[in-house]
Amino acid sequence: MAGLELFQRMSVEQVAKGLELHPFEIIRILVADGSLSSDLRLDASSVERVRVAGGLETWWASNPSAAPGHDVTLALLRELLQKVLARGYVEPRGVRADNLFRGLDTEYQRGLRRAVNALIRGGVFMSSMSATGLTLSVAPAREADLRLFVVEGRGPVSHLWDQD
Amino acid sequence: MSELANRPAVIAVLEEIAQWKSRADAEFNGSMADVQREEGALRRSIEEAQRQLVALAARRSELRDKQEMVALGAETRERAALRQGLADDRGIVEGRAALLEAALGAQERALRNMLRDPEVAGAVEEYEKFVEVEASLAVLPSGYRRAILDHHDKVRRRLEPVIAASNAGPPNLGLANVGVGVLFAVDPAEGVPEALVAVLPVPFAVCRDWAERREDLSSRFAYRVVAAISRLLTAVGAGEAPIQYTDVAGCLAVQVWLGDCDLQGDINERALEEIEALREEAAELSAAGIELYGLWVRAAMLADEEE
Repeated sequence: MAGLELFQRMSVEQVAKGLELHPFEIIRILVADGSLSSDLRLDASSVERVRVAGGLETWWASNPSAAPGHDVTLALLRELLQKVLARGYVEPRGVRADNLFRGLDTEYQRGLRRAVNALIRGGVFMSSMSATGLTLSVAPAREADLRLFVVEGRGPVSHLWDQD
Repeated sequence: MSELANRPAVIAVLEEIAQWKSRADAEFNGSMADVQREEGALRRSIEEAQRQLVALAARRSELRDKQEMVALGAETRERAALRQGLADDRGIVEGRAALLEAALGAQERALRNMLRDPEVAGAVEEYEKFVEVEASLAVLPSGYRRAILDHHDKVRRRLEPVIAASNAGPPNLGLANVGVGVLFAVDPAEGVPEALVAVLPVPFAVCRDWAERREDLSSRFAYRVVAAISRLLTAVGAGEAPIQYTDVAGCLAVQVWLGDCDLQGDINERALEEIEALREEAAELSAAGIELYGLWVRAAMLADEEE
């Protein structure tokens, strides 16, 4: 039998889980967009507005076939960095940090997050806090290093990753 | 010396001068004695006054120490009272959250019973089928499409009470209203604020463990205040200010860095207005008999007490 869900608009929590975004972020985006309903319920169009207004992107359609581990994380990292460069997120263009991981299961995200943190500490990524949370962009001076790592898997960036 | 029959005039003058000097000397000696007496008295007064000044300085120091202790005591008591108030308010919100969840559960069970009615269940099934094929309607011939849409309209009208009940507001718990506070502070307290903090009487878990815990009244309380703070920031020209969520005495605290913003308007007044507006807007808080208020305190009162 069909449930009540057929008729009910979604709760903030449901939308947050669907979008892999903290509920408070959803609230901030809806307030900025002027579309927060007084009953805190969202219909499909509101969810889409959150996605667009918040600049949410899902970069991973599925998890890798191999189990999480160092090699898988390394492969994921190169693929991620290739996506970053292909989308042109070099300073001053920035991307929401959570976009980098959306679509991956937590276990894969964990390794990738550690690697991205190492790149932030190593000055490859520049980070800044804004209303939409942490934003990342590639430091222009490190773009060539990053390309070398993405294409050939070597260079200074590979050392940063090794050290973490 | 023999007496002169006629004393020279000069001698009389000299004698007169000697008498005059003698009188002046006597007068001088008398006056000097007065001066010395007065001087002595004054010196004694000064010494007494100095003793009194020393005593007063000691008394002043004692009073200041005492006052400092009073200030420290007041600060400790104020901090403890605010912490206790937060804990009490949090207890109220959590207690009423449990009651509201129970009432919502009963509301949902009643709705599910409605769905068990064969006539309603049939209509729901038709409605569901329509939702499944809705996206592909465009490719159907217009006459056929029109017929399906007309039929769906009828089904929808039959289900209107169910749809309305499914999206009805929370049931009123019928409890006495109780005031629950959100604490606000800015730092520094004087001049242009660089940071804003709001502490909510809800567990920090609504933020940290949101994915594991069920959304409840505490969560929605937090959503409301986060929304109010977002509106407040936009209103004072700080819409882009970064926000962090932290744990203050087990409660959720919203911290905003304002140091990079050019603030316009009175943040204090505006914050209270936004909280007041929530009283009208937040149906779930009204249903649970919770009356929200905002209270400005000194930032130091929200920090942990220094050892």
